[in-house]
Amino acid sequence: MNEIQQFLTGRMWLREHIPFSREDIDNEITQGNLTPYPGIQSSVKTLFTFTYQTNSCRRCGNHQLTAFNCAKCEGPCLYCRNCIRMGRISRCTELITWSGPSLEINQKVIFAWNGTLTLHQQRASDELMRSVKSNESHLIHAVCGAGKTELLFPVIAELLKDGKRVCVATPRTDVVLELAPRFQKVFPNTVIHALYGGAPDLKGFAQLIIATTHQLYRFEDAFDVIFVDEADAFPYSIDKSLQFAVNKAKKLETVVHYITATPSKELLRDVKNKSVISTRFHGHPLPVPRFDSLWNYSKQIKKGKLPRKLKSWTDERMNNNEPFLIFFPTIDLMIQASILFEKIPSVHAEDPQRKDKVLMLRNKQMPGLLTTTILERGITIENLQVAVVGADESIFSSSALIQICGRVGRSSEFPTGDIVFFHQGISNDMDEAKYLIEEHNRVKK
Amino acid sequence: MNCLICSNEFIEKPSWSYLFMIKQPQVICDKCQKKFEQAEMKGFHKDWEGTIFEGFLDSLTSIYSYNEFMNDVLHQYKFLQDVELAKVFREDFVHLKSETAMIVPIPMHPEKLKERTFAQVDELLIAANIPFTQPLQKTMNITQGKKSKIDRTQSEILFSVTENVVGKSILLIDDLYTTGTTLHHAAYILKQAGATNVSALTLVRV
Ligand SMILES: [Zn+2]
Ligand SMILES: [Zn+2]
Ligand SMILES: [Zn+2]
Repeated sequence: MNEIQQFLTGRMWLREHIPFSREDIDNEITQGNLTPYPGIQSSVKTLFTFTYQTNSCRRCGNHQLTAFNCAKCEGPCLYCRNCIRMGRISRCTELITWSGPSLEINQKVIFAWNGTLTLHQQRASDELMRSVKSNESHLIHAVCGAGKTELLFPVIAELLKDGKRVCVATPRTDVVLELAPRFQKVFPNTVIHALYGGAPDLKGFAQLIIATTHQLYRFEDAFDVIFVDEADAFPYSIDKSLQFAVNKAKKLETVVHYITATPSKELLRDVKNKSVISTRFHGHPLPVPRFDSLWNYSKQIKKGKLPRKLKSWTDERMNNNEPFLIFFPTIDLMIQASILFEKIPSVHAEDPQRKDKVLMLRNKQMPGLLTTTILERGITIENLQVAVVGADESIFSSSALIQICGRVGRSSEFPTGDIVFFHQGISNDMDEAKYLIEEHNRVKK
Repeated sequence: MNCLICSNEFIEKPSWSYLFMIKQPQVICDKCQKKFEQAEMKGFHKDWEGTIFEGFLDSLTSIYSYNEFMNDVLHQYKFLQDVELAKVFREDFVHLKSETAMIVPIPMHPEKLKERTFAQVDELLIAANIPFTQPLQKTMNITQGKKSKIDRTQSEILFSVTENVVGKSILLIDDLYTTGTTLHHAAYILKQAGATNVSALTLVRV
């Protein structure tokens, strides 16, 4: 059993950060089992009659490199700021990957899932399986609460049994944290790594990886199959280097599969094989948002006064003992509001206690949470009620609003709930979100 | 323009001083700029009184005080080796253009320099376009964190002087003033070598 082989199969690691001794690494390099690549790769391109050199980061594909005078290589050098948090890549650093004999995966796979799929899930799961087998990209377009993770189980089980290496990637750390324990329960015998910013560097070889798309910078030619969950979520949707990362992480000849409740126009256009699920797993219709005007909320909150409608909505939730989320368009406004809402904490993207606060809400240790769009996806709390303040602000795209509505009525015991868009004028995105939700409800009938 | 710290896009305030090239363009957004706190504490630690180092460092000025945000920025600058962040502080050093004293950044040990790939104090001055000289050489490779109080009495000095500084007025530049060991040692050895006046300016006062 070679620990270095297990660690570096399909992974690209900065030499300085590899958790093995220098001698062991050098030894494997001389034997041809490891290959070091320059961190910055240069290629010569031709445009008409001009030839020019372009440099890019081997790990994240970034072309906008920063020049500096380097004391290590004693001259002008380049480094990448885009992926610097994973350890700096410069012209004088090396990325090392396994290039020796390929690892044999012979771990016995136990598929410990005794749930059943609804007819809709089963159909989508079968269709996805067919696309995976014929190596054609597939899109699962399933409404929030359709049970899209479950429909992956049988597909992934078969892939693991075939000795394939599989990755489920998502732009959001919260989603990784939610998915990883569920997969581990279903595949108790399989080594699964959950990778996200700040997670410990795990040694060993994982056949199944649940990762943020960011973490895929560190993989190359690794996966037989990749599923990108919530491909339309920020930052994957706008960050070209994350799309580069996914493409680099998969084996050359394989394709990427997508799962989302709110596919972008590009995804709908580019992916030929699609399965649509318009019904939630419990069979109840999707909660439809109601619109309610809330004028001058920003001014009032800044003046230290909670808008009357917002206050009475919150009071009602507290009286009924219903957990709730209130979404705000900006961190600043949310923080000002949190001063006025005593006893209701707030969370945002950089909040280190985000995980704990969501857990406390789920355990009913707090009545509700104020949040930015960061909690639009991936959280499931029974009987949750939701309000969006300033739903007409541009940050609330129709997909963001659909995802937010998708937090409501997720359990079969509480399949309904209030979802209110407080606004200062109805936006196109609000209309579109409502229309698309009603459309799914219509298709279902 | 994207902020060098938070990478959010920001719009630069138009100003005549940019037009006449008096000021360099902004590299960080106002939100990040506001998170830095100006230094309040002045003077150096009392612990140096009564040691052999007393009276060698003539004065000390710091620009910022230490807070969590500064900690994160310096971490990215020094440990993640993000040299570009030197530009964040260039407006803080431009006033040195009219400085008459010899400007001397605290040097790094050559081994440490190779490891970090750049000299963090030199780069602050280079980013601000301030010329400097280097009469000091770091002779001991110890990291600041491992120091103890013994340094205030020991006679083994962290630096040696490699250029003539007789009769010179010197302004030492460093990134941090923490225990003061580095600056007091440098001032001591420079005055021993004949410098008449040694002051210090640090980016941050911890
Ligand atoms: Zn990079
Ligand atoms: Zn270099
Ligand atoms: Zn900023």
